[in-house]
Formats: sequence, C-alpha cells, structure tokens
Amino acid sequence: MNTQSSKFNRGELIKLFLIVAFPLHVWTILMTLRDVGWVAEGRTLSGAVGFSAYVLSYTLVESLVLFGGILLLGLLISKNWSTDQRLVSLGLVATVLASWSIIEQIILVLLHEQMTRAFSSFALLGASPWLGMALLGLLVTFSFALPVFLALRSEKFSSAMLSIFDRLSLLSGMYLFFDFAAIIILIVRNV
Amino acid sequence: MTNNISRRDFLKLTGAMYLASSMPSVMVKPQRAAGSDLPNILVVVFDAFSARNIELYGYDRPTTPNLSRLASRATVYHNHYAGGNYTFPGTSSLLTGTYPFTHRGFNPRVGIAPFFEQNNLFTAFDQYYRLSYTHNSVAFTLLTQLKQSMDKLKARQDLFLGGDLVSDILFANDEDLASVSWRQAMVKTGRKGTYSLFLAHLYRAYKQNLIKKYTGLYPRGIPNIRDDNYFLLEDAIDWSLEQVTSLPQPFLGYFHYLPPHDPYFTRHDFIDHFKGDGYRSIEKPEHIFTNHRGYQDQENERRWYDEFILLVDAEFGRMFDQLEQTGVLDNTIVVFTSDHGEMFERGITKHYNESLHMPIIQVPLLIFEPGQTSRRDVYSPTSNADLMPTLLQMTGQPVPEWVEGEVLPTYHAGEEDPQRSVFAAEAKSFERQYGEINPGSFMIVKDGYKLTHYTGWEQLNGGGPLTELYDIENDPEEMDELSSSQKGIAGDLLNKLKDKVEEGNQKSLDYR
Repeated sequence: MNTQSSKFNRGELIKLFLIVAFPLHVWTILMTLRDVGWVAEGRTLSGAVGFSAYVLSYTLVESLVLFGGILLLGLLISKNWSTDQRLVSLGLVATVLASWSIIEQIILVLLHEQMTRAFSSFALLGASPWLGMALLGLLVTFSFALPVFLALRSEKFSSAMLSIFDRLSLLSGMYLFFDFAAIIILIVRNV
Repeated sequence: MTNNISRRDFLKLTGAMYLASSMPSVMVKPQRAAGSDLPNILVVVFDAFSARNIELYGYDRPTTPNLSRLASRATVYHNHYAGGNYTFPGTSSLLTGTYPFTHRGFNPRVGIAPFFEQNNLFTAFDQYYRLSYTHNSVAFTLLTQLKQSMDKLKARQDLFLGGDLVSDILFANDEDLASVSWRQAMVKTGRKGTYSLFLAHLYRAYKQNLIKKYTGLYPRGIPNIRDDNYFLLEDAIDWSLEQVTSLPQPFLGYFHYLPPHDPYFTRHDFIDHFKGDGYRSIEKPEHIFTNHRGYQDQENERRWYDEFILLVDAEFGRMFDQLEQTGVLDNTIVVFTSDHGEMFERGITKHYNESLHMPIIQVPLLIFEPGQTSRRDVYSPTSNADLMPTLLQMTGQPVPEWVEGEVLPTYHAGEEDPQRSVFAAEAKSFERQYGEINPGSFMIVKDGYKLTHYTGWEQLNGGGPLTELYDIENDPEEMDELSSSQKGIAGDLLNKLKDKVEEGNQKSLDYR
C-alpha cells in the first residue's frame, strides 16, 4: 500500500476517475439496453447507434463532473491520510453515492414511487414520510461513513477495495473506449 | 458635366456609405421581384385542432368566440380534411399539394420523397420572402428537409423558455435524435427514470427555476413539448406579429404552433371555463383501435382540450386584430387551419392512432382575403392538399402539374363540386418512401360518404383488412356503419380509393 505521498499521481487520478465512471456507465448501459429497442423501431441502425452514442457522451460528461466533485471533496481530507486511504475513501464515496442514486431510480421505475415514500411504506409500514426521510437520512449517512471508517482503520479492507478497484478500472477503461467512439460518431452525425 | 469629385466630397461619400452599412437591416427592405401588388400570404396552423371541437362548425361548447366573430369576413370550409391523422403526413400534404401516398411523408424518420424537397409550397412562391416557424419537432423535421426552399427557418428553441442546452446548441444538425436522447438521459418525468444519476437533478432544478414565474399564469402546467421544452403561445404570436410588419414584401409566412396539441395546459383565465356546463358527448362503442380510455376519462380530457382551444382562439383573435391595426391585413391572405384533428371517443384518445374517424381527420379551414367583408361558406369536400394550388391561383401563378389538390371552391371559376373525392392516409409504421403501403389506414370522402380501409395493423389480428362506410351527410357522428348494408357504394368507393393509392405508389417510384 502506498503510504508515502499525500498527492495523487497521474496513474492514481486515472484510477479514481475510472472508479467514479464505472457505476455511471453501468447504469447508462442498462438503460440503453432497455430503450434501444423502441428507439431502433422505425429508425435505421444508424439511429440506434446514434442514440447510444449520445447517451454515452452525456455519461462521460457526467463522469467528469462527478470526478471534479470528488476531487474537491478530496481537498477536505486530512493530509495525514495516505494516498491509498484517500483513493479508497473517495472511490467508496463515489460508489455509494452512485449506488443510492441507482436505488432511487430503480424504485421509481419498478415501484413508481419516490424513494422516501417507498421507504416509509415498506420499512415503516406507512408511517409519516418525515420519519421515513429522517431514517433514510441516517441510513444514507451510515452508508457513507462506515466504508470510509473501515478504509481508515482496516488495512485488509483497504487492500481488498484497492484490488476490486483495480479490476473495475479495467472494465471502466473499456467503457471509456466506447465513449470516445461515441464522440466520433457524434461529430460525424453533426458535421 | 465633370466626373471629378473633390477630396471633401469623397470623404463625405465614404462616411455616408459607412453609416448606411451600419444601419439596422430592418430599415432597408430588399424588394423582391415580380411586382409590388402581390399579396402577402400568412399560413397559420394550430396543431391537432379538430373541426369537431369548434363552435363555428356546430360544436355545442362555445370554444371559439373569436373565430366565430372573424368568420364574418372569411371563406369557411365546413367539410375540410387533413392529409393524415398525424403531423408529418398532414403537414406534408399542406406543403406539397399532394396526398400522403404520393408525397410518402408518413414517418419523420424516413422523411418526405426527395422530389418534394425542390417542389413544394415554398419553391412555388420563390419570388416571395419565405419564413417558417414551428414549435412541433415532427413538423420541424419536415421543414428542415425543405429548408433549402425557404429564406429562413427559425429554430424552434428560439421561442422556448430556455433550451435543453444540447440539441439547441451543440447538436442542432441532428436535433431530433439529440433531443430524444437528451430527454431520456436528463428529463425527470413520469416513471421512466433517467440515464443520468446526478446531472438530471441539476437540470430539473434549472428548468423549474426557469418556469416558476409562469406557474401563476399557467396553473395546470406550462405548455411544453416532450415535458421539457416549455413555451408560451403568446410569445410565438408576438414574434410572428413582429415579423410580418418587418419582412420584405411580398412574404410567405408559415407558422405552425403547437397548441391545442397536448398537454392541454390552458392559461389561468380559461381554466374550468367549461366545468359543470352539462355538456356530454355521445357515448360511442369502442373501436378496434381503442386505447381503452373510459368515457369519463375522455370527457375530462375533452374539457381540458376545449379549454385549451379557448386560449388558441383568443390568441388568434389577438393576432388577427393586430394584423388589421397595423395595416398588414390590407395586403395579406391569411389561412387558418390545422395539420390534423384530435379524438376523445370510442376508447381512442388524442391522435396517436391508426383510425381516421372524423374528429381526427376533419380540420378547420378559414381563408381571409384582403378586403373581404362578407362570409362565404363551402360545404363540398376539400383537403389541405388544395391549399397550395389555391394560393397559387389567388396570386395569379400557374399550378404545377404534379399537384394533386384542386383549387378550392370560390377561388376557381366553376361551382362547388359535391361529388369530388378527397383522400387521407396514415401509415406511420411504414418505413419506405416507395412501394405498397402496409400497414396503412386510407380514407376517401365522396358523395356524402366516407369510407376508410385499414390494412396490415396488428389489431386486425391477421383477420384481413377492415373497411368502414359512413353516410357522413346524414350520420356525421359515424354511428351506423354501412359497409355490409351498402355493399355497392362501399365497393365502388373502395375501388376508387385503391386506384388512387396505387397511383400514388406508382408515382412514388419516380419521386424517390
């Protein structure tokens, strides 16, 4: 584990970006698979490919924006943390954040409910939405705090997360390849 | 006479030239050729406006007081039909003077037959300054295809309340797909979810902030397209009025506004105007193309639609009055019509449907001529395909031989022809610009009868085509289907319809 410098090198920045981009791309690809059927219906293959290119490009932009936000968050982290601890913590924050957003989307699409109301209905058996929001807020906070705490306290946990992030980065790198192909497609379509 | 000028005079001249070149262009109206006595032409289209919901045409609700007022100086066509039940074929017929099986504009993804890119209403008036605008993305796709035929096609988003940032600016050349993908990715609406996990929230906040000052004016919601592009009809009318007072003359303006197309978000002064008025439409049996909307749901939607029509009527009245006050009307032919209708019966709602029932295919047409002071009424069947040849006739220009529409009654030398045939078609699933159309819905109106022929649709369950015949002169509500009891008439009309469709199919091979 790298415990030396408190600043990310280029490789670590790229890895962090790939970690941030991963869940966003997974979600986009799942949604595209849901929709490309009706988009393609009545359109040529070029239309379906064009649609995929647009949404991947938007996801790339969103990944960059989120990455920027995560880096800003990194400025708040104590300089006493090692780069690995920083990398794991920020990666986990981004992943948990994306996961909650995905959960919110899934609840909306499958259950046709806003997350707080669904939480009240199912977890609290119809109790007040305000109570649901409060408890959901606690749950969300805990879901961020716990992984960061473990990343700082447990070297084993940290190493395991780094290993997972390494593997996910490879997959995420492939998504980036599709993103750049998407940008080329957009340029061709719009010239 | 000497040709020499002094240095002082030369400097004066240079200064004057500089000053002249920096003056606003509106003060220098380039005069176009062909004589200054040609009237201007203003074609005003309100999308999805059914003649069946207009009091001028006998609707029991007073939805159009302004139109009724203005009709006293117009030619009113009472038996007028759109080319199709959807924007693309309907507008294509209006702009080409042909029927859908000829212009092949069934589907915006495929487009109109290439022949009509250089042969349409705009090219027919090439000595005019031609300007068009539409809120409607489908109509915009068509106008974009015809863009080379006109002097200016105003971008849709110019009259929206804010844009979607992407298709407006970055991807304007691929606006249709860019806006569909943007909507799927970023627009939080209904239960579809968004592709974006974070930016969608920011985008929604941006849009909500943009429209919040209008929520008092439009408590039901701001009129919009695809839940994202918000607009005010008032802004579009204001812009149109600015244009017609400053355009080079003669001009041809084609302005295609979205209302009363859904969502039926009328302005606060018209909300609940018809609530509790006791109006009930005739309850009709569900049709094979039903969307399974219940009667009461349809009545509720109909009321909102009718209240939206009140806004359309008020704004057209305002537009017309302003045209008169500014003197533009003195030399402008004004056409008021729609691209297709809207339906709230038989389980079918709106117009996204295969059917060609009267509410969905019968549209208003009023023509206001400069100096006209009395009303004329025409009851013989007419089509939006007739508009182009009529305008050419009115301005003394030849009608191209490929035009299928006819010069409208009162504008040609002869009498009304009640035995004339008028056609319409819908085939939005059809993906080719040539060849036999399948699946499709086809209509012929002749001799007071209306026959529709549906073929290839899933709902027919492989049971072969469906033919329906109605005596629309005596049964305008299409309650008694006559194809079995009036086989002779049905057979004759069906043959004429098939011949016309086949004629279009043959022409399409040349027009591709």
